[in-house]
Amino acid sequence: MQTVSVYTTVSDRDGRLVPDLTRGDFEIRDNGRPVDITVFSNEIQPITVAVMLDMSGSMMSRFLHVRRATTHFVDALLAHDRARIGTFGFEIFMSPHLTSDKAILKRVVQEEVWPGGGTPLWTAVDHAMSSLAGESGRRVVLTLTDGTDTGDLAGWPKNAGSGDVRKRAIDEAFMMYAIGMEGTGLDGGMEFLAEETGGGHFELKLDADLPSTFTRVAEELRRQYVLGFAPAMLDGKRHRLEVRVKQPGLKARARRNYVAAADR
Amino acid sequence: MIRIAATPIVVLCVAAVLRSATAQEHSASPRDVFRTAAQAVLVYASVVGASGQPIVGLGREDFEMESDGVAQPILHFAPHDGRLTFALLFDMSASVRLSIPYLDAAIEELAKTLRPDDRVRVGVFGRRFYLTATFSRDAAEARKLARQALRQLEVEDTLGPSPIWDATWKAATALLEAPGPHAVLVATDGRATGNHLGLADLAEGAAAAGVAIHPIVQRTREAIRQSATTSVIIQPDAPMARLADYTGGAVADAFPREPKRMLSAALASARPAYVLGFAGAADGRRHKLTVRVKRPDAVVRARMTYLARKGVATDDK
Repeated sequence: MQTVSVYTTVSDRDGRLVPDLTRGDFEIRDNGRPVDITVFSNEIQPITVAVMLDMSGSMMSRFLHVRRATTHFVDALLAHDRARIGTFGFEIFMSPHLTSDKAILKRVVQEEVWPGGGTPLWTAVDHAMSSLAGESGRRVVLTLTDGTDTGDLAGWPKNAGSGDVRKRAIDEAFMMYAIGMEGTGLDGGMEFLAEETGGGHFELKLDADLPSTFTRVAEELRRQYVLGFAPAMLDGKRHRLEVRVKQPGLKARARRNYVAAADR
Repeated sequence: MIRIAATPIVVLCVAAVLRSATAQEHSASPRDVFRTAAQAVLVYASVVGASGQPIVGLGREDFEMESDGVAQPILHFAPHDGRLTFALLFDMSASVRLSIPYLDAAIEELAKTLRPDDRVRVGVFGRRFYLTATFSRDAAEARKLARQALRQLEVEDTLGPSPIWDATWKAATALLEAPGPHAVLVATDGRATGNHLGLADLAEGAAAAGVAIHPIVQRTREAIRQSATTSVIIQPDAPMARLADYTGGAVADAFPREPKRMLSAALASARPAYVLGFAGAADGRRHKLTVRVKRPDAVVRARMTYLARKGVATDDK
């Protein structure tokens, strides 16, 4: 029987994570119809994440800060978490290591992060998704950026726009997180993408908040509930999803769509 | 100091070094016989003066060797005739500003300086890695293969990662089937990305295998202000210089005063002038190596580590 997994973050009015709810506290609606929750877990979830760092020219003045904060994020990973580091600017690169080995991840951050270039944001996010395509379970792309997409990378075999990325993220059930640096805000497309996929977006009031924001992302991912249901029919179409928490004052954040097909 | 990284590449190094040591012993034909239970360790070295000019004509008595800080008798010494088994590797990633016409001209000049007893393989890398399948010993053939190699990658291959460490290691291990000394000349900007290996992995592995790395780099140094009181220096060629030092190589300029001589100058610098030997350990482990020359104005370029064979007695035949 096909089960649709729905990773859900619950927070209170003050934005604090709420980790101790039970199955009965949730409702799921598929195209508006309530469904039975057949799978439930509130255990700590291992993280599989591609971290994409904007290294464009406009980020140069934050280079050291971003590198230190990313190292801080690596330190916050637990034994079963896996991460992959990538950057975009002159080029787009993803480290071949998707690993829980902190020494390797830190080595990549120290040796392989270089500033300069434009901001092929959507192509970079698309490339990050490709790097996780072979992984099962929850796949997260966490993007740190200070601006909007500046266009295609000339010669890149598969440049992507926001629409391409949105469709792929939903169809292939990726979860998107985005952090916007101080003062510049996030591309509106990134915010929308994060909300549609059940991820999150943060706009730093101060660059100094970056380490704590990275930690917050890690905590959210760790504390997400795993809900599951069996779709009434596998019609191959996109269905609207809604997850609610019955307790007043609490907010659930989960992906808003899924494709009712096998292995989705 | 470059720290040893404990990665699976260490296992690969053992086989490579054994082959390398065997090849080096045969090609150097040391007259001394090592009648101990230890392995004969050969070290190719160059000596340069304060201005970088090569110093030749030195004798055994001019050198000192230490392993793990302990003085070692130099049991073998000979001037080296300069022949070389080397790989010529080009980083074709987008950030590197070496155009194909520029490289074509440099290759033309390089071909004139090849010796009949040199062996060369040519490679390029970006997203993909390509290396000529066999060694070229003929200048005309080397020229032709080099030019072909430069054109192997597609534009899309130049816009992804620059796995400099991985490519250099692949080239280094590809040399070991031929007699030494061995060197990799790699033209790059030093902006390494997308590697399986780390810099320390490559440095330790190459030095242990006796492969000298000679970077040909675009020297760039950019100070980027981070705050009112802090700047960060971005100098991509700096790790390449450390790599060269550790493996006994030398850094060459990708844009010298005479651009045509970019490669030929690097090759001239890569040819060692001396070969020394001592009785190494027999414990199968890595050991630090220091080679000095007893002249205050001179610097020795030689590898800084070797991998001891385990419990094998070697005799020169």
